Amino acid sequence: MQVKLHVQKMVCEGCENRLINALKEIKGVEKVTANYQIEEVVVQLKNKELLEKVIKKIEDLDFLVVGEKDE
Amino acid sequence: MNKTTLQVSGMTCSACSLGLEKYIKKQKHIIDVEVNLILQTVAITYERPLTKKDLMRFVKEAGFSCDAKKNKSLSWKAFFFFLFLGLFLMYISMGHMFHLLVPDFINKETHPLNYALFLFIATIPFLFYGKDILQSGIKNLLHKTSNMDTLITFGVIVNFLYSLSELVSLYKGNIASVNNLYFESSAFILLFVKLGRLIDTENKSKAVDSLQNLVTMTPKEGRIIKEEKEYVIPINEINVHDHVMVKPGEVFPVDGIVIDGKSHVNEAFLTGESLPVLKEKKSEVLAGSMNLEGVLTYEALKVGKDSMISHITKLVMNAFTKKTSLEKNVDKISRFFVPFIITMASIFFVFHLAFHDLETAIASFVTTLVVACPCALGLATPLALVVTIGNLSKKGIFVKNSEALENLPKIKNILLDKTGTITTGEISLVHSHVKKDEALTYLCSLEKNSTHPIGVALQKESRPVVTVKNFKNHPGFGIEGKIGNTVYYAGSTKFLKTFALKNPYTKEEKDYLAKGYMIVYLFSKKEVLGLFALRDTLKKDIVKTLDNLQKDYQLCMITGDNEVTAKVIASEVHISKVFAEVTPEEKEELVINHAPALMIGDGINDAPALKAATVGVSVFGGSDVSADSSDIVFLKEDITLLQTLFHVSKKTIKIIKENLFWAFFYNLIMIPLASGFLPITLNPMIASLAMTFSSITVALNSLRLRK
Repeated sequence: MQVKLHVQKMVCEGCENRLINALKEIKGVEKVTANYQIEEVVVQLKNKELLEKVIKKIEDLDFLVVGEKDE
Repeated sequence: MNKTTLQVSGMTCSACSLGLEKYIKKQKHIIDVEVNLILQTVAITYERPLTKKDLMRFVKEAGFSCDAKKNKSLSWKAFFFFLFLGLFLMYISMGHMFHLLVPDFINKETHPLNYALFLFIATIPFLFYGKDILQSGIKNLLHKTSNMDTLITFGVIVNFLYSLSELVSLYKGNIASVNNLYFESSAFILLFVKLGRLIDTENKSKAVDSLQNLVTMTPKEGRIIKEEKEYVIPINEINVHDHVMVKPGEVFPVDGIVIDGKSHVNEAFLTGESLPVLKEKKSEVLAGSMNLEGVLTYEALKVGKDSMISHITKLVMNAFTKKTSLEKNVDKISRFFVPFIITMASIFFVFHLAFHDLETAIASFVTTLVVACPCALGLATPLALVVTIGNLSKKGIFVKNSEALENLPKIKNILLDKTGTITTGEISLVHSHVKKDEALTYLCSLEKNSTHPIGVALQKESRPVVTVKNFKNHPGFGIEGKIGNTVYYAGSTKFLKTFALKNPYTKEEKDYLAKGYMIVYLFSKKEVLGLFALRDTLKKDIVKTLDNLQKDYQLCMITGDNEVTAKVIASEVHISKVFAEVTPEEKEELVINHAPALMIGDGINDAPALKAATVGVSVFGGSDVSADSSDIVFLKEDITLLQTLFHVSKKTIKIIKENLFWAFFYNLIMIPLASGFLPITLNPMIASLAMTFSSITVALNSLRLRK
């Protein structure tokens, strides 16, 4: 399932990359994209339970997860 | 307890390095983490259950990768591999045009299909090589923003797909299609863009290396107190629990907790908090923050030269990662240019489709896109700036803010501080008139805590000193401190005038000032205790330097010092415009009123003016506060560097303009040719060659700045 998150505190492409690299390390995360200009992180997860892990990881890295983005 | 240093790659900004530091610190059994953005290393102190493998895992979890050095040489190896592959590709593709020997089974004339397949297969690795560019271009397209990568991606993909469709048509039996294959163009476009980026990174790291060397060669020191005596020692010799003393305008060398004194501290570069923070007994102080008006003695808690180097690292990193206004313009242009070019190319496409055929239409569409690719534009400015900054650092000029280089040609006025900038600041006490014998002792005791050149001069008078409590610095006026039960003040005539006291030395003052001496008064709330006359010397080569600068710029002297003294010194260096007895705030106002202005100074009193100036220059030996507020710092005692600075910046701007010209020139004259409206037509191959030439021209032109 795909989840779109509103993530703040990414300041450059470097931040995007490291967020993507870090999330990719989590088992069950199939695809990750990030864009700091629109403050968005999109993840493709195997199951819904992983979302909590993903959000915790993003916050561990010192970014701010504001919430989910609706279509 | 173990300590290890890992090489980390992927850190591009201070947010990233801070993020890494915080993430690792959170892990169990981690004692300490120090990240160095410039060296791309992280030093970790940790406890037993953890191994180096675990640490590397943490780095990976944080989103980075280890083994950075390997990556760099790998990048170049990859480039050369693809360069040879590309040349081989080109040979096979165009060999027949020059009657070169080509293996029969992939010969264009005899085995067109094999030829086409070969080109197709040989180009695919290039798509992987340029994967990052393509991904970035596509991503931007999806988000409806566009940068250079978008244009390149567009050109490469359309070109590749078109060539692929011609390959299919060839397979179906249409022999003529073999002439419409442009696979090598895609390969070469990606190759050259990668080259441009490699050169950019290479130059940046070379310049950073030379700066790093320069910076670590200028030793940074701290002042410790042992058994009532002061010792100035290199920072890395300060140990935990040492008592460190910091005077006004100085930077804290190490972290610690205040034992004695009271002052305000600027922690802006660490916390972003621009309001000064009050520090007194038991307050925590941080390495790299700036002490403002008081004297503090504190116990060192966290030491290591890395804490000071990280301060300088931040300065250096800012010089490189901050986008200059020229670079921002290039981004702006790209944002227009890209849609514009796509529109133009589409117009040509439609036109050719209407009046000629699909093939011509597609060829001109692709050619237009390729030929308009402004890759050289992306190189033009950064390359020139980076080469210049590296060159200047070798000469002893540290450019903290690359925007300053662009602003230098705009300067009309140069405002110079007097003491320490025009004069050496090596002042000697020549005469004293005192009411009590102790006056000179009291004065020296007070001045012991001052970093003003006058204070430093009086410290040289080796006299037994007495204890001073509650020291305070009043910028632009003087200092105060309590000796015994009385508060004493030392400062300029201006300072004295703010207290309604009777001055018995007015005649002596007048005489000394007329001779260009500097005057310091010692007084209490009740009476004037002494007048002291000091003499300063002009800097070597100052007259010659200023005479040369007078030809192109309006020079003014601005000083907090006495007007008569100032005028005497000014006339010695042929400056006619003098603003004397100004406070730091007034200096700032003057700088703003004289914009576009270059301000050059050294003291704490110059900091606001240096910050407000179009270009702020801090001379060698200046206070840390002034260095922090300036755009440019001189790392050598040599006032002629000011001339060098203007001269080099003029050259740089000229070369940047030339670069931009060449970057655009090739592209612009090629667009009409690519349109197919003119008798001479282009194919994407020649188009990408032209693009390469523009990049090479820009690179070679920028290297002219190396001298």
